[in-house]
Amino acid sequence: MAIETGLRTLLLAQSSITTLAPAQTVGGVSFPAVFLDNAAEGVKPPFIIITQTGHDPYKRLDGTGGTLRLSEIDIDSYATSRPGAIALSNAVEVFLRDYAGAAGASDTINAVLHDSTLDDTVTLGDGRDQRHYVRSLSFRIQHS
Amino acid sequence: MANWWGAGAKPTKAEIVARGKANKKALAQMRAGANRQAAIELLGSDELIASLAALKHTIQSKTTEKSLKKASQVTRRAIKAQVPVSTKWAKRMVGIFVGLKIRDKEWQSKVGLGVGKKTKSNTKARRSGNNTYKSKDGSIKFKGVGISVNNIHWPVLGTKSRSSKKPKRSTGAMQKMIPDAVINGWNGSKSEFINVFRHELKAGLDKIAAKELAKSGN
Repeated sequence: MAIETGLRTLLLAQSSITTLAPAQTVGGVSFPAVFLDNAAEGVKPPFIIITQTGHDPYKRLDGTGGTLRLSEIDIDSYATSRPGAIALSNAVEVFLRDYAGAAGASDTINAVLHDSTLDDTVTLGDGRDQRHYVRSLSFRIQHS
Repeated sequence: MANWWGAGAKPTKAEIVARGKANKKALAQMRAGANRQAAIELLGSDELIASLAALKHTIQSKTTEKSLKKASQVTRRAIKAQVPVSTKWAKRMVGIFVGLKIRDKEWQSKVGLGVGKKTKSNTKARRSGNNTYKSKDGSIKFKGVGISVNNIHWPVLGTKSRSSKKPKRSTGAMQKMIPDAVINGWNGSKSEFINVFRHELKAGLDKIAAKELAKSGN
């Protein structure tokens, strides 16, 4: 299983995160507020998007593949205000900092390194008055 | 424009050849000076340069390559951190090249968007899904070719308004979507790059020295 899926399961199990970003119902379907790559259509902030931006499988000294991997993961916290985005990303950071243990059904996280933080805005359509505030956290995660 | 020999008589063939040779020598000296300056900036001391120069060529290459790779990874991370959230797909296209170019004797390190090996994931064109049109049979088709490492310079530098030849119609312009990510990433990571490079090189030299010591039995 991919590490992003395991991470999503982990984040959805944290009450500190789900309180700030509760599940939303759109068109009669309930969407938990943590998505992979893209948010579902119609869902409004606050929500979290997990994206894998790099993946590096380690090799053993004999050249064969091992199970240890290094993934670069971005966790973007979207909100309708800057403080909202900061609060949500803080909850993610507090939980993931130095986390080690199971992630989902088949992944195990060995180490989490926080690389960088980027504050950004995403404007919707042509109108610049409509925008989402985003805080993007970049992590390097060593997992197997 | 005036001739290089001035207003006098045209120089002989020997004089022209001699001038060419002198120019070549001056250029080589200038290049060596620039390389030495770069080496001093990177390595910090003459001592480290001398230790590296004293090594066998193969070992020297291996140590340099390894150190450059490690240091380039720092810059790659810094460039990735500068890519805006709305163009996150471009992060996969930030790559590294470390190696010797053909006929070149100096090691090179290059980090940036569209640099490095072309893989399946970064050559696959990325489409937003918004740029579509309805064909005659009513099906929805994509306009354009999408963005991959092959044309990543379009969103980085922006494009002028273009048009297709057949059928002749405007295909529009692209705005700068990832401005200054590479230069800002490099400026932010320059000192760390140098530190990591020096550290890795010293570690490599220590390792070689320890090996040699073990071989000699002292």
